Amino acid sequence: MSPIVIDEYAGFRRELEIGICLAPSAASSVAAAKSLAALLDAESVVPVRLAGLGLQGGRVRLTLAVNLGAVDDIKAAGDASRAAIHLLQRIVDDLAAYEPAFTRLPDPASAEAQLADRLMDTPGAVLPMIERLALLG
Amino acid sequence: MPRPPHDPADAIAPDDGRLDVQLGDDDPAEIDLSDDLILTAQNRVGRRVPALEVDGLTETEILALAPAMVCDRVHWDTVEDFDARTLLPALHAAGFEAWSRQWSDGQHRVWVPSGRGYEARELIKEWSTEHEVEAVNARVETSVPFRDLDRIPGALLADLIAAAVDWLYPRMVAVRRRLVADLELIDDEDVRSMMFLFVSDHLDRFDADRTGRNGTLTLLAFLIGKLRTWPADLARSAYGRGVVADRLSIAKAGEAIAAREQRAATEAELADALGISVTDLRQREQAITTLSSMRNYASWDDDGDDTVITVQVADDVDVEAQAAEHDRNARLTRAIMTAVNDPDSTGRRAQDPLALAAVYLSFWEDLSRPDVARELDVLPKTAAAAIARVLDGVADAGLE
Repeated sequence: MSPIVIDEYAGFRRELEIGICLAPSAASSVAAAKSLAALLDAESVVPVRLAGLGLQGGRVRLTLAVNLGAVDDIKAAGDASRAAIHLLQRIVDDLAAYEPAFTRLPDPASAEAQLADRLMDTPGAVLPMIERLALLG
Repeated sequence: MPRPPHDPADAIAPDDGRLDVQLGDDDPAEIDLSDDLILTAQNRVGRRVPALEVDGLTETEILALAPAMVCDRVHWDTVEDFDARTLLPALHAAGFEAWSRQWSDGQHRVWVPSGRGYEARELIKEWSTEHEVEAVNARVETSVPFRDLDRIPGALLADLIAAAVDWLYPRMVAVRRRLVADLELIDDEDVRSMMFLFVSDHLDRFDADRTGRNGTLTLLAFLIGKLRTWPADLARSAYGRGVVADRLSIAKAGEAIAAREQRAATEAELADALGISVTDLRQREQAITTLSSMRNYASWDDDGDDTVITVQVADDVDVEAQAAEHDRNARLTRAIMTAVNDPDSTGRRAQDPLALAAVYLSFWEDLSRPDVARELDVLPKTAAAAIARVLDGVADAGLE
């Protein structure tokens, strides 16, 4: 079962995250990660987290959770939601070589989500891990 | 002549299983090679490919029943169905040793002893004229390896091919992905049987006496080499050389630019790298897309007011299915983003986050229409209208 998509706790802003994954080949996975990092640096206004990192069919699978904004903002096409769409469009256009595709966010208990979680806690750990995954792929 | 740093002779592992590799004058490195590890032609560490064993016989013993010869090969096409074996008696009567074998590509092939290929071709042409068989494009390849596989008795040959496919199929993931997802040449369920035919075709040219840096060539190593060019060869016969050459050159240029610039190439950069105009590039890409004809696409069921889109999700870990599904999702993602983001519009209508949210919750989180409405705190008809807006845009993109 997928994780709770919209935070339903009373009093919290209910927000929606959209899952989008890149599936670069093993050889281009490091380049993909660097390109992605450069793009996210340039679009730092939108909250994004690495939601999953794994291997699938010899390809490295990088899953991002892009925050589309609070429900009220989404309904009203507010600035935050429009910025998120702008970011998603840039991912789709600028990283087209790595076949970005919407995806269901991985279960937090899954290996790929836990690996991403651990890497986020360790500065500078993502690229070396991608290099290792690329070797396995 | 001085030997290069990676001369094959340097790469023969001594008895202790360790191999010193000289990477550069000042940069020696030591790589531990166990029995299974080898150095590939690109000086990478790879795994040794095993020799096959079938029904208690090794591949060497089986193939020794049909020893490798050096022959000239005559190959040609005919307008109508034809079995090249019917002309072998005529070649034998003319003093030729000659063999024929059917390949799955439908071309006719006859092998004769080395040095007699052109003579055999003229005889074949004469025989064809006499028997009113329209033979076209007869060519001769000289000094090619050939095995008369008919000399292998019983089911040994079929068992050997099956054993090779059993070993290769789960390991040739990249080739299978190219065939199924990238080039859309073969349906997933047909790949295994096509691989069987491919192996059967190429077995007669296996030259087991070839040796390389890692010892004598095994059948599997030979087949791996052949399989690597299979997708490109198949694509050329399916789409024509021009389109495939365009596809390969565009992909190559895109990868080179991506590696250099750390981002995807723009159309202008691609066109510049290929020495063509952007208009020409677009036309070539359009031709590639048209010929690829977007097979295996997600099914759409229009059921009155209750329109639903079904994105087929693989329920096992089949690699091709996953690759094909990702490819579908990537195309669908592009179409959805185009539908919810119209940079040419001005104001708030340019972006439609509600539609994106509704579509995502419906098709990636599998929520029902009422649940989507509840999550987004809108009326069901509002959610339905938002989804319909995206579906219209996706349908306009031709993803049906």
